[in-house]
Amino acid sequence: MVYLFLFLLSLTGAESVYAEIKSPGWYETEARKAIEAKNYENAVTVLKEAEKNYPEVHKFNLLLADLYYDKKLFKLALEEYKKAENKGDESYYTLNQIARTFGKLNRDAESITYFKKILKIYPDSMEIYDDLGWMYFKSHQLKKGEAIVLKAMKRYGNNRALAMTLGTIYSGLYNYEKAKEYYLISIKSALKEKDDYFASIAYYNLSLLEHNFYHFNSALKYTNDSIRMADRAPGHLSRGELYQAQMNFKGAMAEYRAALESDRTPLSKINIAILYQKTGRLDSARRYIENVLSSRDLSWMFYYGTDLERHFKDIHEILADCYEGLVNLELGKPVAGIIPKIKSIFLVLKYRLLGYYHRQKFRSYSISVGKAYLNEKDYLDAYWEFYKANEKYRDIALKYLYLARGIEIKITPHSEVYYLQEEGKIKKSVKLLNETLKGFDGFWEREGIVESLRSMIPLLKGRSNAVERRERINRLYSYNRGALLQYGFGLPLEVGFRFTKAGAVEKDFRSARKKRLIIRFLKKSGSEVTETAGEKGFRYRLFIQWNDSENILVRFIDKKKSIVVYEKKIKLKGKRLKVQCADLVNRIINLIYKVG
Amino acid sequence: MMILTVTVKYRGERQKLEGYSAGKKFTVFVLRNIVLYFLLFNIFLQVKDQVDISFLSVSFLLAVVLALWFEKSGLRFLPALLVIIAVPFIIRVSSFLIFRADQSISPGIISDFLFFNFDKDFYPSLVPFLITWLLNFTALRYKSFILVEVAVNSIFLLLVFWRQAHFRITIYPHPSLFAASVILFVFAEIIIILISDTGKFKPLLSYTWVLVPLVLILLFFVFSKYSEGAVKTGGGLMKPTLFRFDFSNYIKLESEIEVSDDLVLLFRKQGRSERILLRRFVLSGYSTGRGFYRSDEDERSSPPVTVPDTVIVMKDPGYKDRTDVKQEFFFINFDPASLIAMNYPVKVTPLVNWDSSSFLRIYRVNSRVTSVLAMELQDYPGYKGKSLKYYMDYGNDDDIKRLAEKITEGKNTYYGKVKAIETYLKKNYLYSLKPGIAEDGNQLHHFLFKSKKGYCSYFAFAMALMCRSLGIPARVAVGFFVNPDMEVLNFYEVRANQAHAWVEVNFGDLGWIEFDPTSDNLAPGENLRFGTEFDFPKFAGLIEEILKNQDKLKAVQKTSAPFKGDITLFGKGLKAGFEFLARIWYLVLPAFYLIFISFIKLFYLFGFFIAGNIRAKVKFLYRYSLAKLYGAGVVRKGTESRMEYAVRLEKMGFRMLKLTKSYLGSVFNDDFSGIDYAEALEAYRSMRDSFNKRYPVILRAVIFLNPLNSFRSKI
Repeated sequence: MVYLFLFLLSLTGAESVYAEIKSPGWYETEARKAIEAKNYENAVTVLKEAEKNYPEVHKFNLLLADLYYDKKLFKLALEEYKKAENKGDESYYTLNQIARTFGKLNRDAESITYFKKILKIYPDSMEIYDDLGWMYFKSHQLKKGEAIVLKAMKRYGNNRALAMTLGTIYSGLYNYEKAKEYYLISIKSALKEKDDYFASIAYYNLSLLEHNFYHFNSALKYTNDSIRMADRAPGHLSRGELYQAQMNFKGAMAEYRAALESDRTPLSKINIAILYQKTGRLDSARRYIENVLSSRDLSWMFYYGTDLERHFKDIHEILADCYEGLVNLELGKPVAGIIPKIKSIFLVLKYRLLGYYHRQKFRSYSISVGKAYLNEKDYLDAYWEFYKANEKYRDIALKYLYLARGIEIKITPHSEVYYLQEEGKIKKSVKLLNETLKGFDGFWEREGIVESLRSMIPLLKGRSNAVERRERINRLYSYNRGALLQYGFGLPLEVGFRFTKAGAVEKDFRSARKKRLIIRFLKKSGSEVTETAGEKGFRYRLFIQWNDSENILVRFIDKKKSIVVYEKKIKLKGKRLKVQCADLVNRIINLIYKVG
Repeated sequence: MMILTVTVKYRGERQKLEGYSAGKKFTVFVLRNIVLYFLLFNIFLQVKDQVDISFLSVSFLLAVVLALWFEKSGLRFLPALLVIIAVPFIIRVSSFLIFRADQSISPGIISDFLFFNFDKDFYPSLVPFLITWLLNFTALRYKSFILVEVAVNSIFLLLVFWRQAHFRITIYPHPSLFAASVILFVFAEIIIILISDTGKFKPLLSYTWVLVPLVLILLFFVFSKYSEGAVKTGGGLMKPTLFRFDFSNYIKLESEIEVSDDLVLLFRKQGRSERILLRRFVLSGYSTGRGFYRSDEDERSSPPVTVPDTVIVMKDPGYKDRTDVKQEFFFINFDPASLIAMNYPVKVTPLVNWDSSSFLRIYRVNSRVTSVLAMELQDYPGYKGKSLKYYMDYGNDDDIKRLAEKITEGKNTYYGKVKAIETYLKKNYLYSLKPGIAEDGNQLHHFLFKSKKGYCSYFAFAMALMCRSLGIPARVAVGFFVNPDMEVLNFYEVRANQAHAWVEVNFGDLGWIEFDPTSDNLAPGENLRFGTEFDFPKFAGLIEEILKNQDKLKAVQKTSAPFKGDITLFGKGLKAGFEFLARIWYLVLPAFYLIFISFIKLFYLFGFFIAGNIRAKVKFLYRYSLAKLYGAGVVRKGTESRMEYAVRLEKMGFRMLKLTKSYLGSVFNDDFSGIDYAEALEAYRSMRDSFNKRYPVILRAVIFLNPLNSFRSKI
């Protein structure tokens, strides 16, 4: 009786177990429903249970992998895709997803291996040829990339995707003619097919090519075409860079801000930071670039042909420039009182240390990046990076600069002027830097001119060079008023004062002290100051009317143009005369240079 | 060791003493440099991606060797300093010459980069090199400098960790390692002080003892910087518990706060979400000076605030229109004991954490979350009873009442009034982390009537008090807000800057309903970066870890497993123990001091009890009595013999003469008998009585805790 009971019990038990195992279809439906309802925990649980009950079915792994991929959890996605592959799924979709996921994880070598594997199994896949070519480009294996894409083009004809990839590879190989030829093929095809988005990307790439080869007008034209086709962030970035080269800061900032709205990469933030740094707004620059540095979502690199080291190298360079500039700003800042002075010393020390830290990081990354280029036999970029890493060591720097120059001027003769500029900077030669001023395009390459000027000014020392120095500073100021203080010099200023008290002229001894303090602070900020009218090179005049109400009128005059550039009434802070004068000069500095 | 010294001295073995002094000197030298290297290593940990530790170590060793050499050669300080400044540059120049030679022999990238690679480590090593040399040379040259060095080291230690004083120690993989390092550091310094020979500045030895508690006090200062700075830098509402965050159980209005973006926890909730509020505390108590605080009423009426050891089911208050919501919490940098949940939690299930987990604590909560619509709230007639009177205290602030009445003018319903206040604050005020300083000290008035800008606490205070002034029961809640846009696979990351305060208003049988009056409009000049720190790969890594260990997320069983000698279990226990100790550092550090001082002061008494012969027992009694006197500041002068000292003590009222005679007898008399021992005991009792008569209990306690002179009694 007992045995019979147990037997019956076991039967019911068996039945209930049988009832608990659902069909694969049920699991799939439930998982899809859960995903739809955003109940991901349920979805994952259902799919894992399904995998447990049907270990041979790869469909559940794929569903789970797709869910992870969609949520950018690439490591988990890769695991599931690989599980599906190990279960015998060698479908085009699965292998392609594996290759792409490797790419997203910046594991380029493994991605290439999978793309090759796909080509072996599915030799008719044009898309894979394209992807493989792109991965070769991304990992600096340009020759291999060229070969594989050419092979595909032979097979499939002038496909626009292939043509664009090939154009990019040729651009990397500094083959201007071929790069342009293939970009134009891809654009023509896209326009024919009315694929505006694709055409926009191709125009953008073409504009980069033109920019790299110093064809600025064409670059602007193609950038405009790119934006006309589709309003994408890269187009605005490219146009902003062209405006920046002209020193059209407003235009550049407007473009970068337009890009920022739709940009999923940190590139627009980087460009904004660079622009702020160049215009002397170093705190803003620092904020933007530190924000980029703190963000670690780097999967965007998959589409941008860059890698971690190059990305961090650029970031540290900007930060180093910012902190080095901040040192000079702080050193030139008028300070009165012991506590502000101690604070200022502390800040100088802090900025110096941080500047040094980021410069060293930049140099270390330059070496790593250079070595990566060298491995891929990209000598031009490798030598350039080695040059940047060794700027402090004259002989070594010059060695790599000459090596890079030897290669690049054969490709783009105009690049000579940029090499001359670098040589002038390294050799601290005013003569060489002066030569570059003639070589730059006066409209499109103002950025280069500014760089030469600001490198040359500290070298123009002594009385014999005083007039030239003043003129160079005036010229630099006319291009970019933010490029002075951060490099440790200010405008030569002709100053005039009027001190009154209750409407009458103030007593001499008090006004003399004010005058002395103001001049001292102006000099501290890096300005050469004179009270003598008509001295050569003093284009700008600063007039200060100190009224008895402690309201000060400041007038900044461009004598050459005979115009008042700025005029402002200032109410001073503090009670001590020294504090007031420091405050006044600080405000004047903000008025003239608009930095901070 | 000191006892040994004395014994040796009495026997007149000068040679042996000198040998011992040399050994002692060597020990001090080694210990000092271990401490210095410890500090150097801690500095290195903060810049390890920039400097090579081997280079740093070599420069440290070089500095030590040069200090020894200069000292031995008798070089004066200034010339020695000049030489030491020249040394690095000589090294650099000669290295560069070698590199140049290498370049010409084997040109290539490797030889080209030698210059850069050398400088990369050379410059950062210069400062530690000079400091190491300076400290070593000065300590070797001037004996008393060792005492200054202890103070200098303490300051270095503080500086090293000052950078880390942003709530938690990140340079160590685990807080217990940090605690252990600091304890070892303090011990090493104590030993250095004890055995160092400070020459004619001997009296300074006593004062340097102050340095030891000073180190502790300064560390306290660092930690109190944590506490004081917590509100300002931790998200406005949180306090640190040494290494973790937690909320403070009171909120004050600060004139300025900063927000930290540290990742605090991960939160999982299924389905679509709108703005989620995760509650830590409700704060109902209010007083004008103290602000809102967690009161006894809160303790009694609101859910528990700590995560239980096992599953607990709380009493469901039975509020209407509520739905079940399951949540999971994964703590990363938050006090593991703290319970956070959506309003109203009814069940808490602590979950098993897996080995090598990134999470401090994992638990699941089932909450009954309101699903009531505004329309339904409109129908609520309003609170009429008296039982919630406690939630209506608004400090009788007439200005606030007048403003509340003005805002709710024409609003006839209970909900209408509450909503009007919420909307008014949201629309007319701006969000700012720098609300400014109120001239009259009333920050809330400054916010409401002058600056019109503040952070979440200001808005919550204002709304809660305005509601209360109208007779509407309201309270402040603190916790985190969760941005639904930051969701990945139902996971949400919560950072310290998401700490938030809001208001809960009583709606009778619908329960306490949340209102968030904080404005979304930023005040001009604010530069907030909420959400911009989203670190996707880190977040993704944590999610991946959870999903991989999903199967292990089971409820913790109450039965505690007996210790089976399992090393991992033991390790975990040890880790948990250290974590616990680190959390209650404010108790641990004083306790540590108490143990230490008790060891020093009661050492001789202990020796008396365990000593095998009567001579030793008398010696220990004598020394124990001396320790007491020395603690009271009655110290034997350098020129005074023991008997002269005893006579002086007698004159002061301490009956020490007999005991001294007994002690000398025990040392020098060949036939020291049991009768002599009994007399010594009697003499001790007499001395003890005279001591106790002179100093009342409290003073005796102070004398006991006083570290000054503690070791002089051994000399």
